[in-house]
Amino acid sequence: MKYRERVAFKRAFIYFLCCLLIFISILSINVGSSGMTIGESVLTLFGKGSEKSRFIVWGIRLPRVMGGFFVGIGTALSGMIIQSSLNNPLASPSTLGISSASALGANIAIITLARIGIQASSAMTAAFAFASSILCMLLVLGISSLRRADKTTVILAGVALNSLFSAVTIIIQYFADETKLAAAVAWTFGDLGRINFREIAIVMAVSVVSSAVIYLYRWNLNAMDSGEHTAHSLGVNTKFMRNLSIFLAALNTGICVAFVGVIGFVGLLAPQITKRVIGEDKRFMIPGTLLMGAFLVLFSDTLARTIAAPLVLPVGAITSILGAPVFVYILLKER
Amino acid sequence: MDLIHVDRLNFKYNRYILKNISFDLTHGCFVSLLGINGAGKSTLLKNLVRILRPESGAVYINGEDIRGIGHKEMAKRIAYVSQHNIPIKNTVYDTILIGRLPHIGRDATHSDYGHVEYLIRKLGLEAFAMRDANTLSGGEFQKVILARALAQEPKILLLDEPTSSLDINNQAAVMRLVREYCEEKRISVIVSIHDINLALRYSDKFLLLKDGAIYDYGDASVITRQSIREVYQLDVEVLNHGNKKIIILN
Repeated sequence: MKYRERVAFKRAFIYFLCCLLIFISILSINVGSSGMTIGESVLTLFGKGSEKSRFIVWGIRLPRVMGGFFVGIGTALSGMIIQSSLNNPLASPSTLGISSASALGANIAIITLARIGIQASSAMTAAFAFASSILCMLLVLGISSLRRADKTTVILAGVALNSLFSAVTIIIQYFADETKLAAAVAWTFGDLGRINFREIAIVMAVSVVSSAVIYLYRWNLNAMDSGEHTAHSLGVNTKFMRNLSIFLAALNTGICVAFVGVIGFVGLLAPQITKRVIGEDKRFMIPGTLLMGAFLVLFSDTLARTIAAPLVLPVGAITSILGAPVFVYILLKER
Repeated sequence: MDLIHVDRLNFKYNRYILKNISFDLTHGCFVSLLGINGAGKSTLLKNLVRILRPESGAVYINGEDIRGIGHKEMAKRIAYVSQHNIPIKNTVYDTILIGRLPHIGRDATHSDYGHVEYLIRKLGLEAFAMRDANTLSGGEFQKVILARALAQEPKILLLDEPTSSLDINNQAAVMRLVREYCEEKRISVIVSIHDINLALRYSDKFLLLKDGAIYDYGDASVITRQSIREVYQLDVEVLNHGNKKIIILN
C-alpha cells in the first residue's frame, strides 16, 4: 500500500508551511520605510540594536506579525468549521455575512455606546462582535436547514445578510464623530496596525484553545464531512458537534473582527487550498488550514505594505482580491 | 433471543408515517424492505438507527432498548448507509478508515489500519484504494461506502436504497457483495429496495410496507400476485425459476 507515502506527503506539506511561515514572518518584520536590513531586524528581535529599531520592531512590527498570525489561525479555523458543518465549500465568515455581523457588533460597541457615554473596552467590543456573529451564524443555519435551501441558496442568503449588516453599519457610522468614524471605517477593510499585545493575547488564547478543542474532535469532524446522518451512524453526537462548531466559529470570527476588522476570504481560501493539496482528512487538514490561514494573512499584509509603499493598503482588500477569483472558481466547479 | 425486536413503533411528522410496526430479526438474516415511495421504508430505517425518534414504541437489540445505548456503542452494533452519500476529497483508504470511528480512542491503531486493509482486499478495492473517493464511479463509490459501514464491524447493517443510482451490473454486484460478506460474518441486513427481483434473489425475508404499516412479513411466500397488487398497485406474474421466484410485469 502507498498509504504511508501519502501520509508522509501530508506531513511534508505541513512542515513546508511551517518553513514558509517562518520566512514570511521574518520578511514581514523587516518590511517598512525605516531601511533596516533583515540582519538588523533579527538582531533587534533578540534585544540588540538601537532604541529606535527596538521601538520599530517590538512596538510596531512584531505586534502586527503576531496579530496577523493568530488572526489568520482564528479566521481559517472558523472557515474550516463552517464549511464542514454546512457541507458547503463556498461557506466562510465573509461569504455568509458573519464577518459583517461582527463588524456591525463592533461598530455598535464603539459608536452607539459612545453616544450614550459608555467607552467600550476591547473586551466589550469583542463581546458585541461575538454576540452579533453568533446571531448571524444561527440565522444562516436556520436558512440552511430549510428544506429547499441548497448550497447556492445559503450563499445567496449570505450575500443578502452581508448587504444588510453593511448597510446598518454605514448608518451607524453616519452618526459617528470623526475620531470614532476613522476607527470604525478601519473595521470594514481590516487593519493589523491597530492590534496591541493585550488584544493579541486574547486572540491567541481563543484561537489556540479553539484549535486544540477542534483537533481533539478531528475524527468526529471527518465523519461530519460525510453528512450528518452518516456521522450519527458512526457514533458521533451530531447535535453536540454542530453546537460546538457554531460556538467556536462565531467566537473566533467575532474576536478576530473585533480587534483587526474584516479580513475577507481567508476563511474560504485557507481550507480550500489545503484541502486541494492534502485532502479532507482532518488529522492533517486542521494543522494545514491553520498554518495556511496564518500564512495568507501575513503574506497579504506584507504585500499591502510594499506594493504602494510608503502607503499601507488595507490587508482585507488584498485578501479579498486573492479570494474572490477562488470563490468564483469554486462556485463554477462545485455543483 | 432475536437480534432486533421492534415493538409497536409509531412515528409521525404532521401525519403518522409509521403505524404500529412490530417485527423480529434473527442473527445473519437478510431482509428486504419493500414498498412504494412514501411507504415509510427510509423512515423505518432511520428509527432503527435512532436518527429519528419514534412517537411511541421501542426498538430492542439483544433485548436492550436502543434509547439506553451510548452513541459509540450503538455504532458498534448498527451501521447505516444513507440513500444520499457525500463523496469527499479523501482517499478510499481514508474514507473506509472513518468507519473505524466507533472503535477509535485517541487515534487509529494498527488494528484499525489492518481492518481497513482487510476490507479493501475482501471487497476488491485495491485498484483504487489511493484514489480520492470523489473521483470514483457510482458503483465504485457505493462499494467504498459499504466498506466504510462494514469497518464498524456491526451486528446489523441497514441499507437505504443502495442500488437506486446504479446500473444493472453494479446493482447485482453490490447486492452479491453484501449478501456474501454478511453471510460469512453473520451480520443481519435490512435493505430498502425497489427492485423486487433483486430482493427475491438475495433476501431471506421480505417486509412489505403499505401506508406506513406492515402489510406482510416473512419468507418468499409473502411475495404473491395479490401482495404486489396491494402494495404496489401493479399487476404481475409471479413465476418459479429454479428455487427462486421472479416477477414479471403484465
